[in-house]
Amino acid sequence: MRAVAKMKILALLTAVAAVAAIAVVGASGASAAAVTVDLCAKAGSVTMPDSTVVDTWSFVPGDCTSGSAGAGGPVLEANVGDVVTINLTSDLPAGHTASFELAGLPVKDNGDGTFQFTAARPGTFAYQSPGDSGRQQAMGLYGALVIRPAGEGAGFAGSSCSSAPGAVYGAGFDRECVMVLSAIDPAFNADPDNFDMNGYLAKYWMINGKSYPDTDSLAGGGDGSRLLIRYVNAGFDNTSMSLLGGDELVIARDAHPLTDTFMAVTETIPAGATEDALFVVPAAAPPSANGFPLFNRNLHVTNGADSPGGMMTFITKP
Amino acid sequence: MHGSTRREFLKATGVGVAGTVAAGGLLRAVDASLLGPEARAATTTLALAATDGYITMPGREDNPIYVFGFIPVSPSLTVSQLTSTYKGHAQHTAPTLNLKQNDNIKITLTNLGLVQRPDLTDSHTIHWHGFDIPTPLNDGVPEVSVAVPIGQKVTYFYRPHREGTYMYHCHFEDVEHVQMGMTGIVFVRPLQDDNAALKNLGLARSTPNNVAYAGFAYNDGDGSTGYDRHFAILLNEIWAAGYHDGDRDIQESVPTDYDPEWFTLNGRAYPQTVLPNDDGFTTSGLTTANANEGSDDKSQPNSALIQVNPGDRVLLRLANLGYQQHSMELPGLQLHVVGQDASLLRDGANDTSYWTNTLYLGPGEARDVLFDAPAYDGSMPSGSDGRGNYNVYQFKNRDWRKLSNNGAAGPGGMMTEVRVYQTPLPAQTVVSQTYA
Amino acid sequence: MTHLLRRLGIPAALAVAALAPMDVASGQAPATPKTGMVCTPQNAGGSTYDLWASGGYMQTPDGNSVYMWSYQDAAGDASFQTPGPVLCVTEGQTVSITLHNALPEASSIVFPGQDTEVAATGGTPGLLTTEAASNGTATYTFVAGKPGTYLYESGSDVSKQIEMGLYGALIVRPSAHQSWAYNSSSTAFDPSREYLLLLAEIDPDLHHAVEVASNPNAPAYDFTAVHNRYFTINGRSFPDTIQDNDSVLLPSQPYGSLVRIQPNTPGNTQPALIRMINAGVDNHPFHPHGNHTREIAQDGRLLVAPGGATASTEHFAETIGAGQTMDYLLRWDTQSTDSSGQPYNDYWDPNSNPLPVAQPNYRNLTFKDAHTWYSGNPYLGYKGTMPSGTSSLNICGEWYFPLHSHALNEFSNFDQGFGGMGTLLRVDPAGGCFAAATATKILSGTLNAGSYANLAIDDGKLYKVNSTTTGATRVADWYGQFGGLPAGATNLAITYKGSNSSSASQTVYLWDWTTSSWTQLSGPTSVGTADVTVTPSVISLPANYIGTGTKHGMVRIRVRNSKASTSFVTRGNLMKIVYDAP
Repeated sequence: MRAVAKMKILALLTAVAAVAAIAVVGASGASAAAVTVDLCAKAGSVTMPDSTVVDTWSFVPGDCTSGSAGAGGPVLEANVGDVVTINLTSDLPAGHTASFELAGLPVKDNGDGTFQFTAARPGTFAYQSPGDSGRQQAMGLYGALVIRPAGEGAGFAGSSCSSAPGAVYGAGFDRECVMVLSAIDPAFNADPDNFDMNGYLAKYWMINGKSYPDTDSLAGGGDGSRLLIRYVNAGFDNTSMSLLGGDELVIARDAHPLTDTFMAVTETIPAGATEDALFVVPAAAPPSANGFPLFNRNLHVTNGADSPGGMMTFITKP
Repeated sequence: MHGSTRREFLKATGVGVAGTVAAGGLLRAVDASLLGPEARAATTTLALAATDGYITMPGREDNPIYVFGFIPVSPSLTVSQLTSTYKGHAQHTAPTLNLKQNDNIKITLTNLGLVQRPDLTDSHTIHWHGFDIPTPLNDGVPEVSVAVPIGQKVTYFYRPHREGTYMYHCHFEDVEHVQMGMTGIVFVRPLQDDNAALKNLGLARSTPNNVAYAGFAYNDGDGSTGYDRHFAILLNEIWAAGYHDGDRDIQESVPTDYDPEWFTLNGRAYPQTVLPNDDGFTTSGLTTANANEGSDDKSQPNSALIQVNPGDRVLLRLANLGYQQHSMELPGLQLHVVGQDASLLRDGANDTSYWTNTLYLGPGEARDVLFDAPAYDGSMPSGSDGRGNYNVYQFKNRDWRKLSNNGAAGPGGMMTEVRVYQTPLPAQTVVSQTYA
Repeated sequence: MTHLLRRLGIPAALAVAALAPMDVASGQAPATPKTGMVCTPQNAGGSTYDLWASGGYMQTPDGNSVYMWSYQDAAGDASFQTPGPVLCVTEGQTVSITLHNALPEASSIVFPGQDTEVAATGGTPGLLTTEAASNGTATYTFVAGKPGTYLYESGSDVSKQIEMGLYGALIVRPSAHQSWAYNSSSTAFDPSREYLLLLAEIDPDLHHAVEVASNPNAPAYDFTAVHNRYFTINGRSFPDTIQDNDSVLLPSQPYGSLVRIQPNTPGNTQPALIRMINAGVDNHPFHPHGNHTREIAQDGRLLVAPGGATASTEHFAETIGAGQTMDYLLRWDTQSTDSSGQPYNDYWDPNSNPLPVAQPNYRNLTFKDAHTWYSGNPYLGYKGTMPSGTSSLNICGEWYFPLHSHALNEFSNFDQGFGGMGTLLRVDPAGGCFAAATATKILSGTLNAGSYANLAIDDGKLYKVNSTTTGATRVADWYGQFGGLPAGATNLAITYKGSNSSSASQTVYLWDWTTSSWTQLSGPTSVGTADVTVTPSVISLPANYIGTGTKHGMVRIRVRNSKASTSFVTRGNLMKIVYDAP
């Protein structure tokens, strides 16, 4: 079982690496570049901590000739002003066609499998394939898009976190992490065409496609280090995420900077929403040897009946 | 249905469209008994009747959903006249009430009783949800004031000092009656709607949108909440296997079993939501066979379709009277939330409004949301109707469980369309106006 | 709470009743106030607490009894309470809490929002924090951080232990201003109107699984299947929520949540503070009837704009996320200006500002289940006549409005509506309940004109009594009788305003029902042709002056005027009483 999981991680690394190359294009000096991203939507699977294998559909980089799908797509990155063309190959089961939608920016469907948008403003976005009345999202066709001011941040380069400093909306950060929140009902995933949505009941709750204890921790850095947490709720639930041992400065929601930023301990990230929050690593020791807990306060911290699990991770400091 | 009496109601309230009660209209009369700072206030008299009826949900066309509802009626009709005309013909959602700030509002509620359940002698009330109520008598909560039994009427009095979007619903056995369909939107237009100078700020916009604003969401003082068109949309859910079928079949329902199968906008589930209003201008074609009455009822008269011109500033008046939280998206368009719960988002000089792509709305909450319609683009996803070509933007729930009708595959649930037309529509004359 | 009772060595059920009349001046601990947030006494010597995590039962309004886990501030079944004790500390204080774990598994406490180190001693490292083993202890010590409203809760196997009830409120007060919620004058509140509403839910099936876990046939605990049936505020479901704090009816649920306010007036300008905590697992949309509330803070952090100005928002419903806290100010202004700057007065008064719609005939309307909190009159402070068979729970014309979850399936007790996550807002008349005379009796003299009704308001309409007309001393002596005062009323204030056709000597008395004699309140004073207003000292505990039995709720105020040789007429303009209802 572990071996399967490791294969999945390798695949993800490949995916993110491919995506990181996109960011390099945008960050190479030009303030507004034409960027093309090859994305594939295909079927795959994810292995949960209790060894259950769940069928998924997911975005992977490339043209579907390589790579395997897990839970959630790669982190896409662009610079402000980039004109981004998504060259989408759909390799979903018969009768299903993937598409590309951003809640926060207009996307033009060119009708030939390519989708185009202008990276008009910086921030954290969710992308998704809205087809089949949301069933494609439920299967896993979603991901995070990060648009940066040119020259800010170095990109995620093969991880959901980066230790490179940058700034967003004028707020400097020393590190950044993407937190894509989602959930799975394996009964739905086993029968996406005919499943009765009235019976949908999520059993697995994930951060970046993994459930605790498989979740990756967030390296916060030393005392005073500013960690930008980019929450992306790709799931269906309005999720309250709670932090222990510190607080976070909420600076933006849905890639719109807040006029009145505020400190929070527990934030509800609505379904489909994004939120940018700065966690300044306290000088104090965290409450746990694992770090500062960051977990789903609706208590979806189980894998089925197994506890602990689910949507939980830790911010670490050295 | 009931064309003549409906027109009578509209005449009494000085408006021209069913399903939308634009009170404070032509026939308003100054109430001479009022003195002091309220001397300028006008008196608006409205009447609603409460009864039962049936609506249709996609996938249950052959098995209509039993509902309770409020119907707009003429204030001049007697209880027996109302009973003979309206009993058993409830609509859902209730008419959108359009009121003016500081007016004296008198709403008479008459309880006509139930046709399907003559054994069920429930009383009804109107709770004006969110209004600052300076006496519980007009709050409509039966345990702390009064309720209206069958065959009786009561007149509620409100003087809304805070403009914005509210909702109204029955509070008698509320967990049942709200779910059964006794729900609607009421909004209060600001005094600023009389301010021509602020309306003319709209003239500074670029052609062809260099027109005065039709109105404002709030007394903003600076025109920042001006709009060209406004739409009132009530989010809701229908738990058919619970209260609706249970009440029809004399079965008890357990409130904590709540598990809705349909998710609605203005009492319709997609694709019903994009059908036009049933009013003096358009007909939805959506009718429900009322077995008790042998009639075909237009019992879901309120469209959720958002028809606009390029460049229009559009105000969405949103309220949620379901029991679940909803996260709504309008991909491709930016949403500017300028008001919530009938409060301008401003604290002193501090602007607390915000922009979002995911409108998170809990039960009992209201939002006033502005967006600017984009230019028409022939290469964007589009359709056409009697008004010509339009671009489509979907206004939809982000929860995939709520984009289904009774769990089935295929588009459904809490979704409607924003249509941006190539050929301009005429100016809106009433809220939520649709064009065939 | 139970802690206090234990110290007094009195069994809890008896102690609550015994506590009520206890006098602050006696040096003993004051009685628990009937409404409002109640802070748990700290251990002697400073801000330290001992909390026991253990199991016990709570009662639901539909007659169910549900097994809970909770924190309590003394060992033993008799001290079980839910939710955990309210801990009130001051910013900068070093707080030390020792957890004694009486549960069958390891447990702990976490303090969301405390951003200074929570140092743990004893115990063993756990997933989220240091844990106390079953029957072990752990001590958590921290310097109280920013002022505000916080949750404390279990940090162990949270999808079970928080669902089971291991949570409570932690209040951090500003060091300089105990009656400010935060270090900002914009958060000043009336300290007598500080309320806590802690929200939570209960799935009785999951709780049963834990209760019988030692049984080999026990059902599995699967949080994925959570289906909440009871919804609580401060550990009680409506209508239990409006019972007094420490109600003997609810021995393990000490905290009520009735919110009591009076309209703001020039002499009463401060708002009430409502501290809300969502300790549950669902986000809850909370809907206050009657008035908007102003949200000033989230998670113990004041909402401010970049320049430091306030960034509060107003709501008639707001969804509070699981684990969040929100602080609200609630005002009830009788006169105000609208959003366009126009002044208005919607303080409806039957005499000076009547409602533009006539009162309905209540006989033609329904009172739910034939009992109501309504007074039978729309005006604040006035009561009306209820139809036969309808009983009113109203005391003196005060108003009630629900405050409740608008996820209406949560405004229910399992299968019954109008229950669950709800409480009432009670609006008392400004200054207190008031009453006018409902009868008069002439002791000496004869009726000249008018009746008791002329005494109700200061309007120049008079109740007139002729003095005796013979003898050396001419006397006009009468009393006004009031009805309906509740037992337990306090702070009785009397006002009499009147004059005489020619100057006479006036004395005012109050009837003492226990001695059957008149107690002199004022005078003798010379009162001439101009109105003289008499306001005797407020009687803080007027029990002797309020009738019982067949004279239940009656108060009599006597006005005696006398004059040598000359006949006169005494003229009552106003006679009223004001009191605090229980």
